[in-house]
Amino acid sequence: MRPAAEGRQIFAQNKTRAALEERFHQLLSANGPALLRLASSYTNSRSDRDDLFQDIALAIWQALPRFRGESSERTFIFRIAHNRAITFLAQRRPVTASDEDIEVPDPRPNPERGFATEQQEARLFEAIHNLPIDYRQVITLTLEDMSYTEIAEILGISESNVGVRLNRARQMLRQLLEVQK
Amino acid sequence: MTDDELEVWRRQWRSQPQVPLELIRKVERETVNMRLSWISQILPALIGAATIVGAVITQNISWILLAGGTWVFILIGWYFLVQNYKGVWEPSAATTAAYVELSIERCRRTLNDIRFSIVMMWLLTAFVFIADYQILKGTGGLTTTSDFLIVAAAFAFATVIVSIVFIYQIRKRRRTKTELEYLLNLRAKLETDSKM
Repeated sequence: MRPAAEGRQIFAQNKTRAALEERFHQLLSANGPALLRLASSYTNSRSDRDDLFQDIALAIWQALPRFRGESSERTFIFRIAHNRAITFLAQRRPVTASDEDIEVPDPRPNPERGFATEQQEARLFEAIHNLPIDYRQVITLTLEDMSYTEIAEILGISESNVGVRLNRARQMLRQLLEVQK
Repeated sequence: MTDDELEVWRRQWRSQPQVPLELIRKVERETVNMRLSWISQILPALIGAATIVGAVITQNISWILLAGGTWVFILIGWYFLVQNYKGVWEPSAATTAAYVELSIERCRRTLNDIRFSIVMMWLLTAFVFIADYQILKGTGGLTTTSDFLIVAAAFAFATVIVSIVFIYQIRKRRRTKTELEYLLNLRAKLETDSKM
């Protein structure tokens, strides 16, 4: 290949890469908190949650060039996230954490958030953790404002199945929250 | 789909819990200590192994009883350790409430551990003294007055060591009780604050 043509190709590749990087950062900043919550629904450990989040981000980065717009970007990244999370569960090792693992974005407690509120949230998190995986996936996606169609697409099940699972998940969640009271 | 129940859960689910860093550090430090307490179980396992070796070499009934008894103590200890620390390895959620709850529960379990350790320590000491005495007597190690004096001195020394550990445990118990009291007060205060 002649130097000029080679240069043009490298320039085009760099441009594509820059565009991809920008898209990736946009996706992560728009969906980062939701993905972090999703990761936290699979583990109680902060370090594991952060590892899983990193895995998800990496998987999204690797899959992004293949995204052809057959579904919405949100559905696309959540499908990847759920697949990564399932792999994570399969490979899960016993929880370990050392002082070095601890990194909290903002260590100050939020004064506006009451202890009772936190207790309720803790109960909800715990109850969701205790749900069987199929129900946990459906309820967490519902709590992220996903429609039946989107959930069905992410999990690869029918919409009616989403409805059935969601109803059962809600029933179980109610029971678990009742037991915790 | 947009019913109240789901909306409440959605709000709770989306809130970003913030846990004070010191609390996280404290809990993580405790987790490391709990893990270390398991590693420290290598020592009794080695002592147990040594008693088995002794029993095999000597084929003496007292040695066999010492080995058997030592392993009974070790297994009881391990069983207690597993049971006592069940369910307190990590917080149920990344919230202050869950971290405080975990710390309180760990304090209670530590108090159980101390109580158990004190009882086991004295029982094990008494058992080892009796077994050693029987072994020495059976093998002719206690024939002269100087033999008796040496063994008595060794037993006295062991008693002093066990007493020092006992005092340490009592102090640790006092510290843990103070910490538990502090955490219970903290929980009560946080609950009151959130209702105001």
